[in-house]
Amino acid sequence: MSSIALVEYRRLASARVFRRLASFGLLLPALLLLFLFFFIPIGYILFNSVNNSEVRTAFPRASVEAARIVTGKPAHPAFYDALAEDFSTLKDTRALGEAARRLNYEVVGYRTVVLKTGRTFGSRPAGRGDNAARFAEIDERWTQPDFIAGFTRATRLLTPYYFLRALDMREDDSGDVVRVGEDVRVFVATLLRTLEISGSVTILCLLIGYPLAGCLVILPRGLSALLLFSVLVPFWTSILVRTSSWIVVLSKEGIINSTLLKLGIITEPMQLVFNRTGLYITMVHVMLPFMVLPIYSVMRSVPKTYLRASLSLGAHPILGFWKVFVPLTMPGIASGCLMTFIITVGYYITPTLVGGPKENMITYFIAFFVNDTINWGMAAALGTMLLGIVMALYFTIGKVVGIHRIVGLK
Amino acid sequence: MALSCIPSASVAAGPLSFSQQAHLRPAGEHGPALARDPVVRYAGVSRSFVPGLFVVDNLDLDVERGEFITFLGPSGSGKTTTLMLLAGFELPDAGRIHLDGREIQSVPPHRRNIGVVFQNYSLFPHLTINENIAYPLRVRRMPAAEIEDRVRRALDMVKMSGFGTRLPSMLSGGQQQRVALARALVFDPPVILMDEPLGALDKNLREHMQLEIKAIHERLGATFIYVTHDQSEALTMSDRIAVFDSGRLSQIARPETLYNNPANLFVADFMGDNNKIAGRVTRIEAGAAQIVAGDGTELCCQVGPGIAQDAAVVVCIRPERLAIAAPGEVAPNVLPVTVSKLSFLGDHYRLYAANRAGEDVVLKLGSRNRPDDCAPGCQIAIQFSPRDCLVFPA
Repeated sequence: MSSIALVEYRRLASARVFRRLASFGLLLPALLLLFLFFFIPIGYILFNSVNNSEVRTAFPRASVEAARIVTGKPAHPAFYDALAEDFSTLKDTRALGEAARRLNYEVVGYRTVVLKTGRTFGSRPAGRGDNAARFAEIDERWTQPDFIAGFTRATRLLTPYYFLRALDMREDDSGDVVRVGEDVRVFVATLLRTLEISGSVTILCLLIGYPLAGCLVILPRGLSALLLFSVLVPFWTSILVRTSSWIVVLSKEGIINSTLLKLGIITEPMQLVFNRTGLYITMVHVMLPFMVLPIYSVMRSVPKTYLRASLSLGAHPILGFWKVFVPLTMPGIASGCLMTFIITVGYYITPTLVGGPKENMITYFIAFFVNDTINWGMAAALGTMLLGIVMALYFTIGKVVGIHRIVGLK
Repeated sequence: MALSCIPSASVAAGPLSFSQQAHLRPAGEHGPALARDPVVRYAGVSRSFVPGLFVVDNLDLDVERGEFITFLGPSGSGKTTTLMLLAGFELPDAGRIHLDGREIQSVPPHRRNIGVVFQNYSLFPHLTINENIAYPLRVRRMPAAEIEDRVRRALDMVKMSGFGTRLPSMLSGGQQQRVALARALVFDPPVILMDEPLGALDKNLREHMQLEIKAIHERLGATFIYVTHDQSEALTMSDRIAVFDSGRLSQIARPETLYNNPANLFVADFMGDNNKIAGRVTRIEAGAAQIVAGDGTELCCQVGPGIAQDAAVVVCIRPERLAIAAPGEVAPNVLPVTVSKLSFLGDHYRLYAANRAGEDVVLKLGSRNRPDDCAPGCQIAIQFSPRDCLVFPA
């Protein structure tokens, strides 16, 4: 009797295990995809922002010796011996080029020094005097303290260079963190401008989107469907097309300016595009669906009886709206604002096309470093900072409103 | 000469506890006439959502101060709309609504000072129980100390002390309903409206809450207007019941009157079970009528003045007023029927049968004496007293 029960129990247990495996198996492709195309690239970017391997790859021996250089003192002879050996055994010119570029970040002019040395080192006979004199002969900057300190910084295991630079700071030769020269301070201002633009776009979207979502809920079916359609149409249009049509509409000869001129409201065309105004107009239009849809979906789930209850308890409709309806739609507001802000912070095309040269956002520099100068470190550091801001914001709002409510779980 | 089936003396001197009463009585005592001190008065109120189709049709109704009145009716009868007209969530197309002698049909809902308990409780989910109950006091800008005091007393009243800091989602349906009631009465409104407040609760809890609401009503002395489609709920709780039928007030009376002396066939049918036997009046005399039923049986019933010779009528008899006739008994109102089913319901038996005209008949028999010979298909005779039936025009 009991053995039958045991067999039955085992059968049930194995069925349970099988079911769990099956559900895990169904999840596996999604997890794999997430891992391959989300976690690995992000990890790679994070690593690139502190990666310091270029010089260590090209000059492995010198890199070891560089760690022994005492700050402020001239390099010891063993360093130049190691460097000489590295140069004489160096075959890979690409590695040399990367090391030269990396060293040039630390001290301007380093690239020339390294490349010149790479070209001429093999032709010069060795053994005539010590290696230090030999390097000084090729280029005397090899012995300058700032070049030595730069070499040391570029051969550490990990570097804070990119992050410091992204905050308009650098490490000076004595190892202190100082601000960079005023003429090259650009990233903090850009970052602040990015946050300001994103915040303004988010607030504008909320001010326009909340009443719009309210209309969608209140209006009769046909009208609200039409309104929803007009909110969604931008979603279905290419972002490039939308942005360029805004340029057409807002330009000096555009519809708005020509109409206002004809009506005599203005006497000369307004500058509506390639500045902050144009950026706001276009970005709000682009971002509005991201604000309206989450708010709309939350609003629709708030029963109208709450407002009735508020009225019956003696609260003026406006008070009831403020005390009951708005708090109940808070998850929608939070998720709409979060989504709008996050997407705006990382938006590239529209700010670049409409914003004009003075309104560059952080993404402009990320693209610049990725595409133009191939400086992965800077691009990664700026990107990581962006990610950090977004994460901080997400968790702050999540703490206040509740993450489970933002993502729509009750 | 009186009909043989009813002793003439009893017709003349018997207590007027039959349908005649409802027919004869001038609208006044409990009817839709003027109350001495109405707290709410509907005067010719109409409301239609579709042109020509009235949800509330020319309603005249007075609610007396301090009473517990129930609007009862099937869904779509206009009872909830009538309530919402008073709360201000619906506006009448015609007519006037008075509250405490003041015309309020154009006053916005938030200035009517009426407590409303909604079917789905409508407790604000983002506020704690204390904050929910304090809400009407806060919007009235009461001092904090008084708010605290009133909230505590309201929670005591509904036996929910100690729950004040919880959120509504942490309470059961019954508890939420108590809080909703506390919130509706904490600002001392003269009238409290309740729209099917117990509809979502299970039967036991519902019966318990009925008694508690009634007790609170008696303690507060406020006027309660209660909407339900559950007639037993209405009978249990109400001082008066207003029965609604297709937007019209069908009858308004005390529960006993409504049950025992329904004014019309709709109320008779809606309040409790009734057996209906169609027939035609063949003779009428001194408040009694001889009626030939569809199957040819002669019935003898007390009737009111609304019934005329040769009129097509419906005879209504409550299941508990029907009895099985002894075989061969010669008595008035004996109907031969065929048994179709006998059910045991604990406190009573229910005998389902059909007469020869195919009309279904239900008998409610005491559980002590199990009826014999009641197998399905049996031919038996049932019998009722001429006083226990009501006759309405068909």
